[in-house]
Amino acid sequence: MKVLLVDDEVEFVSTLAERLSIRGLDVEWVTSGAEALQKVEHQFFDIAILDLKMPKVGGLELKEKLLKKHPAMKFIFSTGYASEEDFNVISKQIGEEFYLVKPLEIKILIEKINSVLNLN
Amino acid sequence: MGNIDKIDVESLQFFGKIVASVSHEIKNVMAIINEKAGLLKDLTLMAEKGLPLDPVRIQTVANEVKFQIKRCDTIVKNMNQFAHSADEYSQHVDLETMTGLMILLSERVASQMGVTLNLISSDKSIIIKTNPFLLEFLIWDCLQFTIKRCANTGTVNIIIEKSDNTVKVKYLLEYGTHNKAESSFPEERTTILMETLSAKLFLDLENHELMISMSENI
Repeated sequence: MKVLLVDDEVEFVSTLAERLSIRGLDVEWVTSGAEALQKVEHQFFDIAILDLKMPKVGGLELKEKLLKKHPAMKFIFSTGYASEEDFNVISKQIGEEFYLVKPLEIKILIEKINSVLNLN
Repeated sequence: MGNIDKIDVESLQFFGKIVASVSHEIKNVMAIINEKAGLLKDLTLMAEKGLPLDPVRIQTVANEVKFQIKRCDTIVKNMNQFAHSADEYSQHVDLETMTGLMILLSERVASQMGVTLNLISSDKSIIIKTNPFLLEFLIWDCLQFTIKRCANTGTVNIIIEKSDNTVKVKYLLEYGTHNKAESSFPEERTTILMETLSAKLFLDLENHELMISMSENI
């Protein structure tokens, strides 16, 4: 299973990638939508974990662009939105199932990846 | 809305926007620290299973956590400084420090929109007597307009100047030909802020310039 992490916080995304790799996942990470689009030019990823708020291209817009290249790709979104109100607004847009609030709990993230890819 | 003026509501909204933005920043730092702590735990568990533990790696992660703590400390200090600006109606303030603070508090929005904010520092401090909170609101309001105007790879250079008894906050915009601010500017709140602060606003879009001009003592 190949996982693509996209988040503009380099320290966050690189450390999360390392932790997922320790757990046996094949992970690559980038810090922008533009880099993500370059990455998928030559590789297929089963799932992408996208930060909702990133400079220039946010997670939702990036999803649409990635889907055009790889229609089978699955997605999970992460965000630092702090309040329940923020959560309600966003979950209406993308659905609670595919949405995680930072700080992430790695066990829950892996469960979510398995659930989205129907690996349970 | 009874006795609550429109500007009171807008001031609260401004305060709320800053708080929401800062809380988002803090959450980002917490998320990094959470991953670093998780990594340390992972490395420890791996060591328990017989994999060698690299002291340099542990030290590097610890230093990265310390860096994030410092980053968070700066974010909280800035927020605290901003919160105290509403303490008194009139106060002596350093205009460049105040503008620098509003730039710091706007950087996340600017970065999201691909805009660089650049405060061009002057040699000496310019102290003015003003309503700190309302002036911060005005400076921030103008910043939001210039950020929208420069969206996608633009730059806003901000310069503070003083001549005689007049002080100026200049926004020099660098952007491509197709960027246009979405909202009309100045909005009603901007006009009310200018009147309250006895400030004047000069918008020269042909020369990519916006300027707040006011007396050093109101």
